[in-house]
Amino acid sequence: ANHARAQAPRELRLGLITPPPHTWNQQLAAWGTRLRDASNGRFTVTLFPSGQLGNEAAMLQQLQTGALDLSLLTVSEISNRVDAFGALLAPFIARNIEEAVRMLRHPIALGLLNGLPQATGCVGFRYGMVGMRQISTREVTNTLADLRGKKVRITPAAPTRDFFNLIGMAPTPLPLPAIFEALSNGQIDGVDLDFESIINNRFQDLCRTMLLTNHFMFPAVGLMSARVFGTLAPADRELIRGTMTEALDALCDSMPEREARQGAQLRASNMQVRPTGPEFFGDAVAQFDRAWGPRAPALAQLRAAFPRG
Amino acid sequence: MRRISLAVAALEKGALVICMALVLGLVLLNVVTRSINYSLFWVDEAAVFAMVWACFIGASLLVHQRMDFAVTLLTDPLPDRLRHAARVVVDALVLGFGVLMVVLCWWWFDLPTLVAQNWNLQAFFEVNYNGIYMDRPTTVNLPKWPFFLVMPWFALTTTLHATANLLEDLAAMRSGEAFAERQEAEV
Amino acid sequence: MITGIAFAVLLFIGAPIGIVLGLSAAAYIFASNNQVLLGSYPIQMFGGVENYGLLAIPLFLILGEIMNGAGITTRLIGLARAFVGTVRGGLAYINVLANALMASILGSAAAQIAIMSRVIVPEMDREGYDRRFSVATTASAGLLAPIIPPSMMFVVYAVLARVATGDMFLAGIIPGLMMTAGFFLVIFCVGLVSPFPAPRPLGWGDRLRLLRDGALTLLIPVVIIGSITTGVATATESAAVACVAAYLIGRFVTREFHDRDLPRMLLAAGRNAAVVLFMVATAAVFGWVLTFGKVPQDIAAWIQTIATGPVSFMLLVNFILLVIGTVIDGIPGLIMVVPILLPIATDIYGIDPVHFGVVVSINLVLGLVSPPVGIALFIAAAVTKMKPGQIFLWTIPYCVTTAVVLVLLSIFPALTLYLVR
Ligand code: NA
Ligand code: NA
Repeated sequence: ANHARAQAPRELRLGLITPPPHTWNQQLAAWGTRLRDASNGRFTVTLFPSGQLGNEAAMLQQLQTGALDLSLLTVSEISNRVDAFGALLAPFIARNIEEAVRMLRHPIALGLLNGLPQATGCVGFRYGMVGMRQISTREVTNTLADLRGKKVRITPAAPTRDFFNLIGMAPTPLPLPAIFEALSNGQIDGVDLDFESIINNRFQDLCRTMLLTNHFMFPAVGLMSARVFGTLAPADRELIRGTMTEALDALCDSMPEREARQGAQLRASNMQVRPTGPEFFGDAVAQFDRAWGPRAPALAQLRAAFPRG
Repeated sequence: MRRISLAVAALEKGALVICMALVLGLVLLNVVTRSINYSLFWVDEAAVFAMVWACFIGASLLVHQRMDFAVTLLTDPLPDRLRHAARVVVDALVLGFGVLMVVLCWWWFDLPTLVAQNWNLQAFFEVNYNGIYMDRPTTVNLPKWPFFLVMPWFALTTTLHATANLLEDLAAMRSGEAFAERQEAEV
Repeated sequence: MITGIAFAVLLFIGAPIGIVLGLSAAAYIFASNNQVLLGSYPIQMFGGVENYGLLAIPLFLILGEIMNGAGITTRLIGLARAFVGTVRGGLAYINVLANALMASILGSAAAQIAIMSRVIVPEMDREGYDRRFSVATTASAGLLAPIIPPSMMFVVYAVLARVATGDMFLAGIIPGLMMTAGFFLVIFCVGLVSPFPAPRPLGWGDRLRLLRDGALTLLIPVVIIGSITTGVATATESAAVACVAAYLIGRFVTREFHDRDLPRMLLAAGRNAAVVLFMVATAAVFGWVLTFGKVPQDIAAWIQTIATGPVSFMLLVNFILLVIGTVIDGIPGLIMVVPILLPIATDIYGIDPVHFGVVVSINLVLGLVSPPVGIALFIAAAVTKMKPGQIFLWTIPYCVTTAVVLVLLSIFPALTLYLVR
């Protein structure tokens, strides 16, 4: 009977917060086709895009009950439950997107995934990502003093918040749709976003300066409900893990080229683009490491494995 | 039954006023702190939680006051007996919803497993991947389960109010007395 | 199927709509043998209300209570009367005009209808208008809020469709003006059929007095616009700031506001907020189980078998959304249909996403007044102590006008895109 159940066709539900045109959706839709073919049609994957099933927290809860089978959740959401993932959200952890791609495949980063089932009820397969984060401001920014006391929109996660507090900015969590208005009327003075989000929302028209810092990478994790994973035959588990790994690796591999293209587009805009390194922020990075080192042991290991300079 | 229902409703009115005051107060606090560049990270989310509490406490109060939107297009023209019967059926449906919520909340909070795991939240989670006690809000630095308590509260009080309504309407139907009027929004 | 029957039976036997949605969701879970969803049912309901944008609802209900308690609303209408004077049907035109102006401040129909129903319906009562007409006019004119920018709906669409928010806002201007003009026309025609009550006579002395008393009340809209444009507050927060302004005016200028009334006002606002928010909560669960059952996706597949070109596709979409909009409207409707319909619209029929967004939004806005589930209808009814069914019949002329606008927009995309491109 067990064997028969394993052979029965199975529909896997994959929930995403991103809309259908997004790279994540396209890569994972392609993965669904690949998995269907590789399993001779035993597995089909249905995508629920645009947060149709709820936000990331809601999808995580559905992964836990087994209502949802798969998802690609940002490390921001996961760090909310597991401090250890704060290491991946540390400032200036990767020099650029190429290094970020390498880092996310490094055993230290992959090792963090081992703790996911006990902490989140999900099996973590592999990392995906969006572009590196930059600081864009309404006014011209020349020195750190220009940033002090200014309000910056961030994605709500404790490490992100702590870094901006340390550099003397006032971190303000706002939902993505509210940013345009807030930035136009001065309710916030800047945003902490990747190239793609800036271009899609035309924030380059509202900002005078972009500090090209690459200060954060922004990974996501391909997850499967541990409850569901436990019901699969070992061969199927490996099939899903293997194909998902290929798909997310392909996603990450496509990022440097996208980043280069989008960076060129932004350099051509009216916004001034200033390459900026960690030294711009004084000892904020060192202070961050002191605060987060004990909570996220991987932080020191990653700094050692990917030294700057 | 009606007396307990009344007492609970009085409690709910007080709680609802507090929640609404919190919604207003917290949103204003956010405006003020942001304008002095001292944004408090958690205020928006706290205001949203106050609103969620207002929603479910208020919803239970609405059951008590029989004050909710319903399509009475078809039942209004019916003769009294049928209309009363429809009222009793509706009471029973609301009670059914209350009981459903009680059962679902019981499964969700899963106290027997929690007791069996000696109140160890991590052990509880690993038994059944029920994240209720692990869930954390994004910005409010507290576990989320205390905020979820409004759901079982809503389930229990709705069940209580619906039972009181049902008993009252059944008694009225048997004695042929007039039914308690549905209350309209008193704005 | 079972869910559909359960839904209809529960609804028409007179069960509260929130309960109908909640029980239907449970019925669908069992009918589709998806019991695993029960584990997420309560948290999904909690999550349905756990949304920053919804804060506008309690805040604007509180603002309405305070403005009333402070005697501001009567003065505001007095001011409008001083301007329009004694034109026959003037108050009905003022209603639409005031709503169009308010719409350039507010972004949500629910909030605007909550506030305008309190402000203007009692005044129309006093002049002897049929209350069904006053409430229907207010509810319909309130639909301008999410179409004339700013608009929460357009913001949500812009995110879903990944188009620029500013483009959406620009695209809403002409359709908003068309609807305003159409509503004026409706009032004019209604006036021909059944003449409006004669306005009360108004001398120049009275007029000056009304102007003097009313002038300060203009501070409320000024505070709302000012706090948003200066970046002091978000659109949602502006309601809270306006509450403070209204309180100060009531306390120190009109001196009609008493602190001891505050708990009563919060309670009244809280109950009305609960009416709406509880429906949002159960609608969230209902929509969520339908999404799991791929009901919206099935609808999309069916559309593709029927529509032959962009115009017929848009008209078909309009028809289907009108049907869907009876049950799922506004932003939740947008969230459910856009991910399914937008790719078909852009990829298969080559429709501009901004144009599509405006049409879909206006259509789902119309759903806000269509029974059995129509949030705008419910809010207007709650505030004015009317039956939603009564109001709906009187909104039909306005709905037809909006439908005509929708058809024009569907056929001539330039009406939305002219200001954008
Ligand atoms: Na508007
Ligand atoms: Na509707």
